Amino acid sequence: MISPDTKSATARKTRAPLLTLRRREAMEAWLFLSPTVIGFVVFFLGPLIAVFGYSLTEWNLLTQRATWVGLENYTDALGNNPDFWPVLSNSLIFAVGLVPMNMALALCLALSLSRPAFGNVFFRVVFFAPVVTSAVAWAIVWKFLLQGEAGAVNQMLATVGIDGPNWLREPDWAMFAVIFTRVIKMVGLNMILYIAALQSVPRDYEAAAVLEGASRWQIFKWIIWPLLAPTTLVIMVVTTIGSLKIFDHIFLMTGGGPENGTLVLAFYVYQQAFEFFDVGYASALAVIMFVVILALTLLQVALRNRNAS
Amino acid sequence: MTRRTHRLVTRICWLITLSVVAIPFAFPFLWMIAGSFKNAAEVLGSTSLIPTTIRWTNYVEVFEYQPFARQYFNSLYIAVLVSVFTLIISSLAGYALARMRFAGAGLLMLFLISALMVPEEVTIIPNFFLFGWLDLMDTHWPLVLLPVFGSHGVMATFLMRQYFLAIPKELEEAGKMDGLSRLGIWWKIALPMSRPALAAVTIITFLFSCVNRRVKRDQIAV
Repeated sequence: MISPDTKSATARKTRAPLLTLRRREAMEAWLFLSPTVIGFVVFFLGPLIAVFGYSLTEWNLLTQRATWVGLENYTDALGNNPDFWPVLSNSLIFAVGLVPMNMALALCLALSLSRPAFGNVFFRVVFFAPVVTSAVAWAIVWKFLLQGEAGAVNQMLATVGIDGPNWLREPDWAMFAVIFTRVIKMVGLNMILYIAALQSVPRDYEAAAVLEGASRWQIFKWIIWPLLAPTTLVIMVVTTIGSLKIFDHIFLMTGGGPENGTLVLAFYVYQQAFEFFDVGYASALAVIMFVVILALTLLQVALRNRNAS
Repeated sequence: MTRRTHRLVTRICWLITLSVVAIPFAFPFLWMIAGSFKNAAEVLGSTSLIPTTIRWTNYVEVFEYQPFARQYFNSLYIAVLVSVFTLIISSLAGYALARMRFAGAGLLMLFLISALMVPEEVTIIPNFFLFGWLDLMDTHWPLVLLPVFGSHGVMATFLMRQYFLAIPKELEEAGKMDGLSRLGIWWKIALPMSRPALAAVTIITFLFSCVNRRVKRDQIAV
């Protein structure tokens, strides 16, 4: 028999942990996070799950009728549809072309502009300005500049005796042109990140290296580059993700052409959904795209961790 | 040549090199400005940066051919709303992620990061139905809510988190001693200490909101 006294004592004992500081803190944390978490679930996670659901159906946006087809959309994309693999390879070519060019240029610009010197602030503004230009305006202006005969770029090249190609009408050159103009537009962002990282490199390290007689290249290779590693990883991951998600730039500059030479994944998804109204297939493509991006991101982080250890 | 003049010469050469590199960055800008004074034929026909005649009426016609003042105002006020919401929500979340201990923090981060990996085009169809269901279609709410909780919101949260991590803990502890609640510490100590981060988030959010108003939206409203 338990006496009433001991009963209340055990009750107090079990209730007590609810009021510990730890729990209180966790509860407060979730309160602080609640707007973010609710928004994330409602506007991102929920829709993403819905997209996965759509991908298992055949659903035409015009007829508004969805029928369950299981994994058929996936087998279609990966096996039967001749468009998919070229589109995926276009996306990868775009990323492989853009990321190294962007990062190398960003690093070079940052190295030459990180110190306070005459004109450096001015040039930082010049190189950053395209980042905050409207993507629409940027693409339209470049489209004019890259016209075949009459375009400004080809006219400039003509003055030095080079016969420029019809940039946006030949598949290979079109890919190069969209990569180049995208790099020019976005490199300023990475430059700023690199400048911020460079400015936090302690001057003493460099001074010590100079006393030891290290060359500039040695200082960069053995001191600055290793210290930049965390920034480099962030820039690489974010730039890769951004380049695989590219849509508006290509939509406006080439419309995926010529001969689908610049048709990339995000644009292909858009085309299937909003031009052919095939939501099921588009959703399956979107899920595949998400998996590709996720895999590449995890790969980059894993490679970096292995190199670091 | 003395050392001083030698340095001056290398500096000047360097500035010239930078100017050449800057051409593709600056040319579209200058071309746009020049184009704003040209007539239609000249915009398409010539690549010169100096218009043959200065045509001020372009700036008047912008307001006559379309409700440009209204469009401009919409962009601005939506950008203001997006920035204000983003600031409050991301700094709250960033503070919790940086300073409070709770189970699942790492996992939550990972989840939030995944929002960066999905293009907005992917979730636009379910979101389209969602806003229809919420009866918010043809209002400005989707334009405000999607960026606040989309990838820019996540980026802002991380910026805030990184900055909060760098604030000395002692200050907050002092605040606790003086009897401030968590919310009080966030509002009275953490936020005032992180003005640079708040400024950065405001600038980035505002600019991207103004600049990246999606063209696609019109096409999607089939």
